[in-house]
Formats: sequence, structure tokens, C-alpha cells
Amino acid sequence: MNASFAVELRGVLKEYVRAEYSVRALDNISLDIKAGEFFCLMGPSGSGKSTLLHLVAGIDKPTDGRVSVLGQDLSELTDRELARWRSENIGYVFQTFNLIPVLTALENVELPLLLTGLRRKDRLQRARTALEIVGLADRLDHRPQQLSGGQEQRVAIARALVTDPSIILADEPTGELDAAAADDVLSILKILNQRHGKTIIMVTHDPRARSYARKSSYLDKGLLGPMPGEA
Amino acid sequence: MGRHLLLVLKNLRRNKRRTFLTVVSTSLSVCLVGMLVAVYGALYARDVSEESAQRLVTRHKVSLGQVMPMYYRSRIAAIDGVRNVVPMNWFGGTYIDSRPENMFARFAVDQEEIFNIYSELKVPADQLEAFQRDRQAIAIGSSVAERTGLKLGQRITLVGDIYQFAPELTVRAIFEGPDDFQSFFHQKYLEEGLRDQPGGGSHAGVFALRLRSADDASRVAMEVDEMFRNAPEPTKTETEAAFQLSFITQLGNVKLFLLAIAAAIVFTMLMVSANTVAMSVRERIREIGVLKTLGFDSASVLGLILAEALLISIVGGILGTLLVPGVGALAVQVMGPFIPTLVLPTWGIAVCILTALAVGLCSSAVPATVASRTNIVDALRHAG
Repeated sequence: MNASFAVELRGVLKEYVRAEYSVRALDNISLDIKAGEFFCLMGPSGSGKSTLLHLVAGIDKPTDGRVSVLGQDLSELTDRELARWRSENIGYVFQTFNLIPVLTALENVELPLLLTGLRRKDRLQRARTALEIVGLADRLDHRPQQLSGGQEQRVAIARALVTDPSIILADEPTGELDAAAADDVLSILKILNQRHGKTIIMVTHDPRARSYARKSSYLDKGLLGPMPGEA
Repeated sequence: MGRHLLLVLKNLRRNKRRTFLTVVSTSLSVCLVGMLVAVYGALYARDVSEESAQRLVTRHKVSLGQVMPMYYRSRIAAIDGVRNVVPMNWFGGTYIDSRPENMFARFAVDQEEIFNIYSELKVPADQLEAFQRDRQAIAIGSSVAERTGLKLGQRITLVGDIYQFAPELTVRAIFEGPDDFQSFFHQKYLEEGLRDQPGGGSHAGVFALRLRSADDASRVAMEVDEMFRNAPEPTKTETEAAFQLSFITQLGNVKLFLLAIAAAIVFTMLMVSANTVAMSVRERIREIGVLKTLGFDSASVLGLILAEALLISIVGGILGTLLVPGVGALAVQVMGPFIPTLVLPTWGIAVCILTALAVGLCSSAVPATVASRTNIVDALRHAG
């Protein structure tokens, strides 16, 4: 296990078994991602990108192989320990934002801090700071339905970084956004990587997004390979 | 859980109409349960006053429909420990018509002794004297006066149904007391009215006994019944509270009846509440996946959903309990003589709140458990 790697996957296999059929989403994947990296995983829809991200986040388990994140073998943790570990180490940005509609932007960002021992005053202060970082200091009391798609995604990024995690996982973060909003979001992720030292792992099938990352790989039919045309 | 309260409250405001209707439904159900508890309390768990504890009631051993000869009175009065004995005959009959406000208990009694036996019934001295002096006098309780509008000096006619006699009476006294939805007129007047009829009226439906001490109750009751054990009209003597209870049991298994209604209400409340919680959880499967991705563990998710259901239940339970006194007062107005008071006893408040809490817990246990165990990836893929 190498301490300089944020993520180490060894021989990871993920199979979804149903009554009538089984699907191999990931096939013997081995992958190292360095700490502080902005890593982009590309591939067509259904290639297994999100599945790989779920394994790194510890919200799904591999059928076979080992997933080690920040030096922690995730298979050694119970569900309860895994939840706690995730709250401390992982920030997650979804394609569809997944903000809680009844909460304001500030309350949505405060949500992960409810799991910490912080007092409400400190929680709100940290949530405000996170929203300032993503440029939404003037939208604290807006509910998700009062925000544009790009603003919603920025709130989601603020929610992902408010606990100061080492790794931010972004699952198609620009998938629902227009070009301008997508550029804003990608720029924020780049800043988080460059200025704040966060390891960013982004899966996307948007070729423009790749230009923001320092390293990229291509996943197709569950197999890792070089980017098409770069072999 | 305190730090999650904000989330719980916000979730309850997600669908305000549904939350409001669930609270209203819970309130009404708890209010109904409270009313049943109050009825149970009025029938079975009334506080026995000091005066009541000193009273016994002697009736025919076979049934209340059979009467006892009047000479029993002097025999009973001779027993050691008995202070007063008064014969009482349920007259029944109709005053004007059978509307609830005109229905009140009517007894033919010994006018000299009745207020000695029931000393908690207070009547002004001049009215008592007027009542005792006038053979055609009737003394009515203040609740009767209030509901019927009868006043002192007013003449009324009762049309008998048990007895073929229509006493013409004058209101001479209005008494007050804990059980004042009744009236008394002279036994002698009844006897006169029935003089020419077979059997006459010189008998007693029951004898009310006032003892010197409540401690003598069981001994005196045994002595009375032993005295008439081989007589043509054997007796059954019991405390006033037991007599009232035996009167109620003639209606059937009232306890089972009340329990069955309460169970039906609670079951309906449970179904409504369970459906609401299940619907609420189903709509939020994806959000539950998000919460778990953020680091909320299964126990936290379970707690959040249980807390929502319990909060609705407790608010509904409190509101429902608060409704009981008002609805009880309304019911007494309608029921009148059948249930003179409907008050939720202290233990009844606990029953109402605990029922609401139990319903909240039971209705949310399954949906909350299912939600807490939901696989994160499946939840995030949920389209609902």
C-alpha cells in the first residue's frame, strides 16, 4: 500500500447478478490515483464509470478485488464505520445535484456537518464559507427550486467540501448543465484541486471536462484502457 | 437527535396538507379514545365519596324488576349499624315527551328521609319543609331545572308507563349535588294513586341504607340478606358503587363493547398513519440515498423517520386529549341523565398520549426500517 496514492484498486470485479442474467460492470480493474490528483474517468454511458465511483465512495462493494482509499481497505469496515469514514473523508457531487428541496442552500450545505460534533453557530459559519468559495454567498436562503442548475450544482459542491474531505468524487457533474454553467463548475473543481489540494475524481462522458483534469483514463464495457486515439 | 430536529421539522413541512390532515386524523381518533376512556371512567372508575361509601342498596335477589314488601324497611332499620333506611321506587313515566331534555330520573321516596340518606344533595331548609309538607310535591335537581326550565311552584304532570297513574305534582324544592339529574316525589302519593289497582303501591323497588360507618358495610349487607334468605322475596344487598355497576352490566358486556370500539379506532388510526409514513418514505427514497452517501448511517435514517411519525402522533395526541373536555361537555348535554359527567381521568390522559405514541411508533416502524436498510446505490437510482 503506497501512502502517496489516494485510491488503489486491485483486481476489482463488480458483477450485478439478477435472476435471468448477470452483468459485469467492472472487469478486473486495477487503478492507482495519486493524492492531490485531478483524475478524469471517461467513457460512454453504461461503461461502469459510476460503479467505479460508488466503490471508491464505499457506497457499493466489489464482487471481488480490493478497494483501498486513503490507505483504508474499505472491506474491513462495517456499514456503520463506512458511513462515518465517508462523512469524514469523501465529498460527493451528483449529476442531478440531489439537494434536499425543503432546505435552503445554507441548510443543504450544513447537512453533512450535522454528523460532526460542531455547534450550530460553527456549522453555519463553515457552511457560509463553503458557499462563499463557490460564489454563492448571496444565495444562502434560497431553496433549490429558486436556483439555476449551475447554482444548484455549486451548492452541491459546497456541500461536498464543507467537511473538508480529502477526496471529492464528482459523478457527471456537468451532465445537466449548459456550457457556461459547466465551465463554472469545472473551474471550481480545478480551484479546489489546485489551491485546496483536494483529490478530485470525476467521471464524465463530456470531452470538454477532460481538459480540466491532469490525468484521465477511459473505461468501456468494464475494462480500463487508453483514451481512444491515444493508444 | 437534537441536531437533526431541524431536518425533521423541515420534512414535516414538505407536504403541509398531508401533515395537517394526519395530525387532524390523529387528534380526532385520540379524542374518540379519550371519550371512551371517560365513559369507562364514569361507569367503572368513579371516585366513591364518603357519603356513598356509607350507603348500601338492597334489592330483590332475582332482579330489579321485582319488588319487596314495605315491612322489610323496619326489619332492616333494626340491624345494628344502620342509621336510616328509605324505600325508593323507580317511577319512570314521561314528562311532556321523550325528548332528551325532558328525560330525568323520577323516584317515589320517603320525603322525610331521602335527604338524610343522600346528605350530599343540598336543599334550602324552606324548600325542604315545603317539599315534605305537600303530598303532591316534587323535588328536582338543579340540572333538571336547568334543562327543563322548571321553576319553583310550577305544576307538572307525569304520565306513568310502569304504573297506570299520572301524578300531578308541584315543584317545591330544587336541590344541588353531584348527582342532581333526578327527582323525588312522595311514596305515599304513589301508594294513594295505586290504591285501587291490583298489587297497590306499597312496596319498594330498592331500599337505600345509610350506615353509621362505612366499615360496617359488608357485615350489614350480609345480615340483611341473611335475614331474608328464606323469605318469599330474598334480597341482594351491595354497596352503592357495586349496585350502580350491576345496573350497568345489565346493558351487556359494556367493557368489551368499549374495548372493541377503542380497538377499531386505534386500528384505523394505525392504518392511516402507516399509509402516510409509507407514502412519505416512498417519495424520499432518493433523498435517503443522498443522506447515506453523505455519511448518515442506518440508525440515523431510522431515527429521522421515527421522529417524524412520533412528532405527528404526539401533537395529534395532545390536541386530541385537549378536545376531550369540550366534546365530553357536549356529549353530557346530549346524553343527559344517562351519563351525568364525562371527565377524562388523569390516567386517561396518559392512555391517550401513550396510544398516540404507540400508533406513531408502530405505524412507522416498518417503513423506517425498510428505509434505513435501503441499499444506497438502489436508492440513488430510484426515480420516484
